[in-house]
Amino acid sequence: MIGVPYDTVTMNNFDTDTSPVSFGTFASRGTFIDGNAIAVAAYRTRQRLLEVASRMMEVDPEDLEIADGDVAVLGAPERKVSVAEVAATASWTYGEMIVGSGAWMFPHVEPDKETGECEPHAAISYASCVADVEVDDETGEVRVTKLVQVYDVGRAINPTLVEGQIQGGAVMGLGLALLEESYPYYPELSHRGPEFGAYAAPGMADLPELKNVVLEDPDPVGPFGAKAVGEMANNAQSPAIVAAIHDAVGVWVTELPARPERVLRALDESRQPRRDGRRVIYDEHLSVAVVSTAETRAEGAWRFPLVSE
Amino acid sequence: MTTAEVTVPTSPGEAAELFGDGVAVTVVGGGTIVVPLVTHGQLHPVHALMLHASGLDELVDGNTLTVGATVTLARLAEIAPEPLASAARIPDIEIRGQGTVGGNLHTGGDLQPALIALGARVRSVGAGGERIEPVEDFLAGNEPRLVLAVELERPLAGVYLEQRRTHSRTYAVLSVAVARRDDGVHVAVGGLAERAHAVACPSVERALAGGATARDAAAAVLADVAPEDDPLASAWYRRRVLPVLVARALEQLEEAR
Amino acid sequence: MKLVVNGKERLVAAGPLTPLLHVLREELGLVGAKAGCQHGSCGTCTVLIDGEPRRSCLTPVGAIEGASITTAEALGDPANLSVVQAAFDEHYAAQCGFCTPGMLLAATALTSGRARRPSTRRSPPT
Repeated sequence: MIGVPYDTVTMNNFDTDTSPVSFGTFASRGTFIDGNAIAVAAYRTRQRLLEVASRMMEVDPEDLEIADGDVAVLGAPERKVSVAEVAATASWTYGEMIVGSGAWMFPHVEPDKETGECEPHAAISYASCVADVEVDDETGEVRVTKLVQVYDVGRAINPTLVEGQIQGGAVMGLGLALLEESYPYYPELSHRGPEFGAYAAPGMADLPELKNVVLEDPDPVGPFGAKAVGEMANNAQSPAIVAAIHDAVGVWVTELPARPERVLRALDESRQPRRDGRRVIYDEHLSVAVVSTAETRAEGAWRFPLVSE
Repeated sequence: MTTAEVTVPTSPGEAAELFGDGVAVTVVGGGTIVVPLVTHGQLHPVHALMLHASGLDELVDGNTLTVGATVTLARLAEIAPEPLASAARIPDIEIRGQGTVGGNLHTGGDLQPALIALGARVRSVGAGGERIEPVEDFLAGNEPRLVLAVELERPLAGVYLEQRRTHSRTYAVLSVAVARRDDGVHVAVGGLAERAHAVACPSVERALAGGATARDAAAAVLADVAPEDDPLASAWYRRRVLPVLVARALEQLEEAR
Repeated sequence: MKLVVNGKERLVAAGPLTPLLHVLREELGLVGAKAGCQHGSCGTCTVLIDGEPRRSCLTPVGAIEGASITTAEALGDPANLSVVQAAFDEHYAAQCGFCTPGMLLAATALTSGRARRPSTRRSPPT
């Protein structure tokens, strides 16, 4: 945006004691919010650069362009000065600094008073996952052989990082789907397991074939159209894997992780979903209708209403 | 770190002498068991006997394979017959190069079912002197013993199967070792509970000797085991899947004829 | 006791049961190897001992007197990365980097041809 070559830009990791205010990185909106703030700062830096250059070259800022580290006159590219010269002139001739700062916040929204409609989130990204699994129906073991992930991230500002996030998320998602828990008597700490390896987090030998596709459907509000690819990277695998287990052996596992014991018990019960009007109930014990009754809510089973009275 | 008094014997005889009756002695083979316990404050050794220079690492490959107590799992894996070779390759490469056969005879060792199925014997010293006994008797004992060596003969064939909580970690939910020896098929299982040792499966062996199929004989394994719940798997799961693994091991052993 | 660390002879004061990890970090100031699980599972403490990858959190230093130890610090420096380090750099193989030294050493051992050839089948089939 400023017009200087990519490799002349340095990123400093600031000390939070001395850096400008930031609320923090949440909701997987780091690139989206910080990117826009940086874009504002870059824009202002560019404006300051042009201001100083215009004084130096006695040309209107509108008639100048910055490219490849040089400020040149539009239509007369031989009339140019380097950005470095402009910066030096600012300091040593004019006694000024070329600094740009920016901030950005997604605007507050008010829901429509009649319909309740509003857009509380910006830049929704989309993820899909297809899982191939092998299920051993005698031991309940599930082996994921392939995970295909397709993500629409708006714009992959750093494609290597985007792919890294997707790959890492795939493995974490596999862990959530099949392996990770603190059983058998969670949340009793005594049964948490004594050591690192007893919490079954996936490792290299658990990796399936991983295939990623990154789609870019730019968001009008995001920096260069970027949306987000943070926490969502480990969401889609669990439903995909559970659906694949159903495709393989015809039963639904309704609690995660789908550890071998749960697969075997689901097979034993030949658990099939039941239709109740518009609802499809996969697990009588855990169905919304059961857990949102007044009794279970009074017991503190759920802290917030799932279904209004 | 630790205030243990450390001694480093330089011969098997010296090791045995320093071990004495083993009371209040912590034996350190490769260190893979003792060192983390000390690090995490779960063990406070008073006398530590480090065996790295004790000469207990002799490996004699004759009609009888004699494996010294401090032979590493990596060395063992290079020459051992099945089912022992597969068992010795279970730990990560880094651990294999450090962990010892002697150490593996303590709780949860992957070698145990394989050694039982092979009819191995353990030579050890302690209170009452030196003795040699079948490995399953050694495992069932509860007085301190210093392992000197393990002896076994090569079987006609062997199979080792293991089920792990993840494929990347070496924590066994269940392990099965079968071996065809001159006197028939022998079966042993492990991984039944967090701190339990492996056991032989005479009910399965009797059923096989009586002509039962692999599947039918395997079902008898539940008479020989007492599985428990632990963070890796429940007793229910172990009881359900152990016969499946035993059956598969026996079927693979059949194919290995 | 004497250890050879990254080609240099070092004298170490720690007791023989002290884990090598502790000696490297506290006595010798070589903080590349990290204390993770300290149970031998996570690999962040991996170093090379006589060219073989080992868990320094599990290695009692008394058992390796005189051995030659290689830590991540010896692989290369920013101006002169080792082949493995350069590959990690090019493919952005580190995230927070905490366990990267252990990975580098394990990969170095694997690609050096000196590490024992791993068995072709990692886990027995069920």
